[in-house]
Amino acid sequence: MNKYFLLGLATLLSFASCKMDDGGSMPNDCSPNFDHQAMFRHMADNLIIPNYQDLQGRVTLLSSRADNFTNQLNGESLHGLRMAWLEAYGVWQRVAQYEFGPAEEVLLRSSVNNFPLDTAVVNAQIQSGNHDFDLPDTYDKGFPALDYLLYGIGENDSVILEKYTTNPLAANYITYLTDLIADIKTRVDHTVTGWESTYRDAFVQNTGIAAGSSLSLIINNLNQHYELIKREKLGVPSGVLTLGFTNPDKVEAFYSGESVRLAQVALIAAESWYLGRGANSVNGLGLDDLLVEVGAMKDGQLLDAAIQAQFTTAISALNALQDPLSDAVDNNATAVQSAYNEVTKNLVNLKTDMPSVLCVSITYIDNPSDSD
Amino acid sequence: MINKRCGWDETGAGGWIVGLALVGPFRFFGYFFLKKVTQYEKKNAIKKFVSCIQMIASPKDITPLITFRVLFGGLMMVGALRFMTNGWIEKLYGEPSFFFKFYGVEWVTVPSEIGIYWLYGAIALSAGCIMIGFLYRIMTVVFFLTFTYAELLDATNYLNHYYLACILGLYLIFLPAHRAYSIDAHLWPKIRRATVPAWTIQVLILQLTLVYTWAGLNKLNGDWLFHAMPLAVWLPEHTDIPILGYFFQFPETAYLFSWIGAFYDLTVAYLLMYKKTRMWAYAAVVVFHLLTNLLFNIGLFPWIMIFSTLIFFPGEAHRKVWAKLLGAGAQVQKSSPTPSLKKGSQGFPVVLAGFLLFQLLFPLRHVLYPGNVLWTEEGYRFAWRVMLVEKVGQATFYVQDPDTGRKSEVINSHYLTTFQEKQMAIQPDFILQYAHFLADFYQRKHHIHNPIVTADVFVALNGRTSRRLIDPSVNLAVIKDGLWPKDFLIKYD
Repeated sequence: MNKYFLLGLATLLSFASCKMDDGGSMPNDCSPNFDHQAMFRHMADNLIIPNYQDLQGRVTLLSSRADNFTNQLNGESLHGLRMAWLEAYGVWQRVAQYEFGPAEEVLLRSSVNNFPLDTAVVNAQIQSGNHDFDLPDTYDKGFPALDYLLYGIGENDSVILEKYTTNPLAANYITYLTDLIADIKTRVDHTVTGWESTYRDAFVQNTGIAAGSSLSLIINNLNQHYELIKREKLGVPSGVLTLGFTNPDKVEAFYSGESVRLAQVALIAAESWYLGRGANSVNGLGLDDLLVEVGAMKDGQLLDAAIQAQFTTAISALNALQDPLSDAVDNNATAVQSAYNEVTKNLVNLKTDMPSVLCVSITYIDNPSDSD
Repeated sequence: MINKRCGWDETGAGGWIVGLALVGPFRFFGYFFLKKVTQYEKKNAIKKFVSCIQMIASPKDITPLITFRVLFGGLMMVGALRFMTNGWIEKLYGEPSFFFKFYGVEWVTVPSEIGIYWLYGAIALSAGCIMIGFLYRIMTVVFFLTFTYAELLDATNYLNHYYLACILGLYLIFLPAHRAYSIDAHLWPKIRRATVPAWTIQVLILQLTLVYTWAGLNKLNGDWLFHAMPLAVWLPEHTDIPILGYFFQFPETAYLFSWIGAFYDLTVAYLLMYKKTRMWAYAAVVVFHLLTNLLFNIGLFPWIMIFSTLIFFPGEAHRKVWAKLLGAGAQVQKSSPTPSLKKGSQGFPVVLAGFLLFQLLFPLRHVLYPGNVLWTEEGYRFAWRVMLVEKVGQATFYVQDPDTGRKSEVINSHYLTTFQEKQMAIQPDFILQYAHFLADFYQRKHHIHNPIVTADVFVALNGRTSRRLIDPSVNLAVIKDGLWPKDFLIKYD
């Protein structure tokens, strides 16, 4: 009877094999000959740590300008404070994407740049004089709250200054302002110290492709940052998510009107991380080199070439916009829409193709139970 | 050898495979329609066939069934308790507001969280009762119904081993696994039996054989054999495992594991049927499944297989163990010596043969659909495709008001959990269901009449770059789900 069995098996085999033939492209090699540690070292020493140190310096300056302002409440010191705020906010856009390790420990991103701001919450806290920025579910703080306190609490500079001087709540305004800055400073200091002490080496040595490995952290956090640019900075205000009804009040930095400028820095920062382009503009080892080493192709060209070209297109589409974005979403809707579309086009390259060819799973989507 | 005239192995299960699945139709066709055989050969053939049928009713020691009942019941009970204590009820049924369904059972409604706790409580309780053999006939029905219902709640959570548990539960309803070493047999001595018809054991052996064989056949594809995919992605994630982990950094290991895995699945059930190879095969079962347990987050599956395959061992082996554990089994000795089938239950083997035939053929249904099943996922489920693909998907949905032309991109996370979104983005029937949900939602909440729902879906399969899965211009809202091939799919070639 064995021959019958073999006959049956052969029939089934032929059924299966003819059907399962793979007509598509070849999968890539998950284990390329690439010095991951050298890339991590370069990213830590020439991108992440210098950018954080830069931010730390700007936040320290912001803090001293705030002292200066509270000592001499006038238009000049307000202007100085605003400039320091804008510069710190700009540098923040460069490090926002490194939301892992020490930054994750202090929930840096959701603490310093959660927008849009709920001004009702801020006003109530100023009114009562009670606030605690350490509570886990306080989101209305950080740079967006400063945006409001420095630009939004009055229709012009003299009305704003009035809040800090003759207003019955002036003391509360001043305390709130300095506490907001102190909260940012504490968290940034913690992050910088973490990187400068032990995390840098841990990051460099954390090889492999498992969840939690440095490569996985880089790819996942770059993607989250990129998605936030797409959705929060451009998508929500432009109305693409709300049937074309625009939301001008939901732009980043609504009161100062610096949204486009900040978004540009954030997008270029994502490109820099991808390329391994350091704070000193030297282009070292990055994900682009890894993708080239793997030899990943998409639609007949190198995946890396597609990503780089789309970064360039997206950045120039974003550069075509002018602040304030809250006006542009209504008055220059086509340009905003185009910027959104060009930014979006790279998402599939970065979030689906890159992890797939590098054999890294997107870990912020995890199976809650078993798999099989 | 009791079944030497019919079977070709020592469990007797081969008699089914050859007789019912393959040789039966051949013989009938050859002997009765071609008429190129002598009268003697014809008679002989009928005789042989009848002897096969008789063989499956021949008495066998009941104890393999007892082992199966106790271990399966115990495992399912632990599984249900684990599900509750891990907080999976909140995660999988509390968090989502929308649930994906299997085609044909869309009517299944999801009860409240408390209701689901009751449901899983009933699963645990009935499984426990199956284990100890208390009110067995009722409890097997309760177990099968509650467990199956739980699996139908959200198709997102489909797992092959849940499907296997459903099937095994269904078999248990009809198997006399409570007639010894059970509370029932203690309470009602009348039902005690020392032996059962051979088919009651063989049917489980055959089901497991089918599972392994299909799992093995499904591995015979280019990605698995020649690119070690997806193991080449999954193994290097485990380089932190002591000793073994060291080898996972080498691509060769993934190839080795892929080929061994395919060979194991294709052969192990058959090697378990022979006395000579049985112990080695079982050792392979234990090692293989413990290894998968170590490497992958697959929950109960390794234990289901390690426990279930004990059914391949002959009655004497089981009896020895049970005698040691619970004594000679006085209750069994008193039992009636005639295990023959009651009138009316003789049709069971025929029904079971039909079901087994279905189990044999159903996994093959993907040949009826155009394109590669790993890509289209048409006919993918219920076919023992275990750990076969690594897929990353990204699905962006758009809803448009046909009257005003206003268009909106959808934020999937407003309606789906991250896990549901991940599953939806790679499975066409889920994409369709979700599109219908969106159409309905925008109709109700935004008062858009007949909204147009389109989706741009990119999927990357087994370490490749992505491709479009569906036609982004198709209005999914007006497409009905069905068993016909989905023509909005973009084929992979």
